[in-house]
Amino acid sequence: MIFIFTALVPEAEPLIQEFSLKRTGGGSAFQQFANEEQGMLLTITGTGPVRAAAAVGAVLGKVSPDEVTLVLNFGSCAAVHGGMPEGGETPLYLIQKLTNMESGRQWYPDLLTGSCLPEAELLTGSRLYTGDEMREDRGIPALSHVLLYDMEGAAFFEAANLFVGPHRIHVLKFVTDSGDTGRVTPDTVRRAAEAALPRAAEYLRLVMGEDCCGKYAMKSFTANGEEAERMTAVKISSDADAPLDEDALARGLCASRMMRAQLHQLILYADLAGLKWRGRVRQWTEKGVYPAKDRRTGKQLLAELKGMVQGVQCDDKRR
Amino acid sequence: MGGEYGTEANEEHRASMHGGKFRHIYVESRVLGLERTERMLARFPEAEVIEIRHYKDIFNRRRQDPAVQHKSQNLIIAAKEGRLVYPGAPVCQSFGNAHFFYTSCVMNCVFDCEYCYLKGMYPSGNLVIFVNLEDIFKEIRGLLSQFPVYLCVSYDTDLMAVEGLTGYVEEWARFVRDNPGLSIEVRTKSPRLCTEAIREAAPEDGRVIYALTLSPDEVIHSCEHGTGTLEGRLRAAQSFMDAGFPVRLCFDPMIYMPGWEEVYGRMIRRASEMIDFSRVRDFSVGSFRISETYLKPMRRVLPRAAVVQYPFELTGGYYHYPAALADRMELFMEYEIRLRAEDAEIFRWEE
Repeated sequence: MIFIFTALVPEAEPLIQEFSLKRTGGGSAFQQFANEEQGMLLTITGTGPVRAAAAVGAVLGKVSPDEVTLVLNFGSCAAVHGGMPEGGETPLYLIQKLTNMESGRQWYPDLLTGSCLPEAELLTGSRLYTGDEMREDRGIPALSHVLLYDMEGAAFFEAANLFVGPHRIHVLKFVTDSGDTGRVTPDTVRRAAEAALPRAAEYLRLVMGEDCCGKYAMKSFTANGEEAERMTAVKISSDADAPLDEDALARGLCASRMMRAQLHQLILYADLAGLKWRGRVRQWTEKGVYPAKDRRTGKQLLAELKGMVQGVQCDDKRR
Repeated sequence: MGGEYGTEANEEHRASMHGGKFRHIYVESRVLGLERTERMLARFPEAEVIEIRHYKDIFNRRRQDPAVQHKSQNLIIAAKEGRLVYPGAPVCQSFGNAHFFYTSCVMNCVFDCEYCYLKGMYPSGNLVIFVNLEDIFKEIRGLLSQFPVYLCVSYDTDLMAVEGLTGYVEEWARFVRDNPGLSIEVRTKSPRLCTEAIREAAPEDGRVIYALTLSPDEVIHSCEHGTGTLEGRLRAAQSFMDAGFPVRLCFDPMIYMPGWEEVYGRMIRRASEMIDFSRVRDFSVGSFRISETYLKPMRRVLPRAAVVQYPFELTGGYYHYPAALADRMELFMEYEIRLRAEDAEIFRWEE
């Protein structure tokens, strides 16, 4: 699932329209909009770091980390150094570094995609930006190209990182002002969000398409270097309607808890390595020793399977 | 980027990396402007350079996925602190040296071997290069004032693979030359050939040992992503031999697969065709083994990698192949080596 957090309704509205999100009920302290088909939930947090962190905790605290594909903070910000719109275009920045101005702590999203979005650093404070936040003693970090300011980003990231890794947390910001907040209205924010939306949507497509959960696709190796065949569930003649999987095998071996744990690792490896363990079970069935009549027999069969999977030959002896 | 790391194999893997390596380079404030830092940054003019306070702010973040990060690896340039030289790990071969140490001037590796313990040891897949080599050298001089030191400098990384970026093998060679009593091993899977600079920097008395890890191409293709092919590595070994370096061939770790005898037999036949085994300094033989502490996180980040999901046995805090199988594999390799070099000095890891 994709979890999007915005501080303000005008920031959220273009997203709600773009992704056909519908208002949810559910009694949350925060306004939420969802599209179950797309696996997307948008939460409007309200302004300020406390609200942002609370919203993230409230939402991500209810789901398993495995359910979280991506967490995104999308919203407006002020330009501190560089970053102001030029030629009428509202730039959308991918945030590479976030600083909580109160605590001084810094946060770094994992920037793993080949995105073409310009990058910027983000300072997060608890007050509206007026320019006073950047007093002489703070200064501009030596390598800053673009430095932005908002009231939620760092808190959002810190809270989200309690639940998911930095490769799943993304912060996109568009500039609305440089401290002259009197000129910022809901309308200007909405228009800026609409202008930034196509690039934000493209970024999301890029991130999702590149499978930010990327695990290695396993090629099982054999002596001749060819990819081994993978066998999925195979029906056994004695039980034609039930495919053989780990659970079925454990039952057939009268497996104890410890045997099950051992079996799990054996089958996991055997499937990855393309070993034809189900053929061995078929042989047992033909010999009439499977399903095992008792746990003792089950242990013997398990030991035989273990030897086959581990590649230990019957005549191997430790010298 | 392939030339940068001296790799030939696994084009598909390199191409799949998102936009190539080091699109982001994190630099500690205290090493900004240093010559080594600037030299490295100059190699990546398109990179986003981000100033940080401490490398651990990036390297030790919560809930990282090293496997994902490795596919789009970023670089961190920093200064190393605290203890800089460590006693050698029990699971590693000391080659008979009484005072066996290792140091990490680079953390992590540009190669991406699925069975590598670094995936279980480090929370991050990003590469850290420490630029304060002089501090490491100083600590080693302190040890050398007490006893001769055998030092592995390419343990938690592959220094030859990044030699074009760092020049550290050359710097180490020069340091060894200037410090009698110190021997180093440079372990690698890179096909990068010996350079004139390394040859000229090194002493002529054999105290810089070039140690090449050899694997069958089947293993390289399956799980040593980004590394050199067998032939590439053997050519590199030959170049170091020709330059006068003692060369160690490491058949370690041996990885089990059905048909392993045929696979490893083919490998060693090819190796002995390309390298005169009688000129090899020594050999290291060992089947795969790993600390209990590292295997669990490795299995978590690589749930579909057969090489780490193998049902190992656990003895004394280390996971390994069943003893009978491990013996069989190692004795096989030892036999094959002796067939080709009767008097070869072969080191096997013993518990």
